[in-house]
Amino acid sequence: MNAALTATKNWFLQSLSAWNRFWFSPTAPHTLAAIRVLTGVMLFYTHLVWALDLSAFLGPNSWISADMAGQVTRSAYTFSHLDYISTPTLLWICHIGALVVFALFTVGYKTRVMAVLSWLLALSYCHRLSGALFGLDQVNVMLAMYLMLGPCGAVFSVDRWLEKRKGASGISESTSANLAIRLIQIHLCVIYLFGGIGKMRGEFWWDGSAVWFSVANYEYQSLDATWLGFSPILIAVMTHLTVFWETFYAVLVWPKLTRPVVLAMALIVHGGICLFLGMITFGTAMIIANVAFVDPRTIDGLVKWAGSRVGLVIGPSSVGPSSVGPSSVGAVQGGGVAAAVASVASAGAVVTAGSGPSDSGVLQQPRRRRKS
Amino acid sequence: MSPAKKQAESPSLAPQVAPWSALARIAVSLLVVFHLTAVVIAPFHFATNTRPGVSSPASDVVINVTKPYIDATFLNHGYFFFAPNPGPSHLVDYEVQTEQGSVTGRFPDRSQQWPRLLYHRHFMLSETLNTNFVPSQPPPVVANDPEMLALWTKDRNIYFELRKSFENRLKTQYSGSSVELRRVEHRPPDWFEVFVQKYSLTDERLYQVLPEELPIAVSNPVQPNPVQPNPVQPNPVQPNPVQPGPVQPGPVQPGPVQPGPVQPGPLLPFPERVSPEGTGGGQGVLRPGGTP
Repeated sequence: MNAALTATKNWFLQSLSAWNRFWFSPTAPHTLAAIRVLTGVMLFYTHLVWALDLSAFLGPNSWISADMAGQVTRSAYTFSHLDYISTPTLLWICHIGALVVFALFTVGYKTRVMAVLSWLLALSYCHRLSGALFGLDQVNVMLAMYLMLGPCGAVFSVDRWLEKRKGASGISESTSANLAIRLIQIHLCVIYLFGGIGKMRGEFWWDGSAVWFSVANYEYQSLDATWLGFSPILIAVMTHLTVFWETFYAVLVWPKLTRPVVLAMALIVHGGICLFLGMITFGTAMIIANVAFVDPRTIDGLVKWAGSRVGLVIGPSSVGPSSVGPSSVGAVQGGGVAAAVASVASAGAVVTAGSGPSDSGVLQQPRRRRKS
Repeated sequence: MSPAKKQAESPSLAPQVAPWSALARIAVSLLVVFHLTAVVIAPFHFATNTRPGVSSPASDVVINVTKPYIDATFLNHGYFFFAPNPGPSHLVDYEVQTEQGSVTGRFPDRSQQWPRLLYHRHFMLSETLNTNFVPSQPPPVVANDPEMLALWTKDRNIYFELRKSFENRLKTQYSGSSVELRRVEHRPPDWFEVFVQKYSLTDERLYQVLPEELPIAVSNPVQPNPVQPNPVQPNPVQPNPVQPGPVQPGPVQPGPVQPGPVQPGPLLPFPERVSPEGTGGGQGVLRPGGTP
């Protein structure tokens, strides 16, 4: 009996420890910041497109009037500031203001404030625009919601660049960054799980024809992929793989062994949606969400690599190897806009020097210091 | 091993910030549990809507508690992307009477709406109109139940107002005096039609104007459309999973055959009434899962 009690107690304590470790282990903010930049671009573009026909979607005689939007959602718990805008001028002012917020959020200026505003604005637009929304909007709002919980402007941002100009050194790991990333990861798992469960209720996903009926849908088609029909077996394999991948994503994305495969599948599936099913934005948004499963060190390395490529393009004087480090601040100050942009791009490489999560040589210094 | 775990175990990656206090962690944990409950219950509740107005009592309990939060934070989605089956598309044909004559058109229209995202917004509008379609006359099984009739009436009014909102938009756009809308279904051709019968994806035989009044069939509402077994079968008919959400009109009502003034006409001819999940539109609402 005592053994059973001890085992139960141990299990409980281990679970508590695992929970604590999962949610409250500080992590570097690079993954979150990368998602911020990409989500900011998506938010900006999404709302820029509304501007192409603003009055038709948000004006007094819009496709779905403000009153109708509430009825279509069948909910009393939604709110949109757009419901209270009656003049085209005010509508345009508010819309341009929203675009400015999304732009500032993207570049990371006053990021914590812009993150909250971005989420509220994205939410408000979605509540007003019921009937014209799809998966893109769901993912946009989801990411905006979690980004505001963490220090998504700690790197790759104007904020960071300004801090460096004031002499700030390395950045800290952050518990809230981990919390935000974990929430994105879990939410993404839920999306895929129910996407898979939903497909399991459909005959076409079992008889292997669902991919055919997706690519043969003219309204969705962007590039003709009906040539896949020359191989019904290939179509069936793609169909079954999609269902199994989606359903078991929530399980297979966690182990180190299977994670790369699962993420590669995400890239293929959503890339296919981008290319062939006419939903470039939705496919891209889902890929951005999957970035949550990429290690901050990998993000750091990728950004440094991209920064070096940019450096090759805009000139070694602004972002050459010598700029990767605290000494780059001076070079950036004298380098104009191009140098500033490059500095923002390479900020991760600089600031992670003190924070640890990188395989780069820059980050090995603190390790050696600790050992000594 | 997760990055966080890796970092926690690696001395070189030790956190440089003070850990949160136990009180903060407990408070955040409670919020996380509540939030994730809402994240999960929204699609779960949607998935349990196997028949109109019917869902799992277990999910009903949780959804009733979390609904304000779910709706307010735009978590009310089923995530049934292209599920349960990729279905037909729904378009809207319109004819606007103006002083100069009539203007006809259809949306979504790739040649009119660009970039692609703008086109897709119009596509979702046409899907939303179709998803919300409710014929004016309820079937007997609904008409005889005051509660269901009230829901029916509410849904019918929403469809009516939605349609009117579309008409007003078109009147404004073309300075018209009157507008006629037609819902059009465009089904994707099956493999046989494309590779043997040489249909194009826009073959006119794939389009069908949907009537505003449906012939009602109640003899066996869940089996009128045989499911196509594989892509080489000609003339696919979409399967007919039942639309979840608010009570929907007759064709999807289960139960015994109703006596009385039931028209013996053809069985439900338009699968969109019972398989809206496979098509888009109305995202943001729990009823349609829709395409992405």
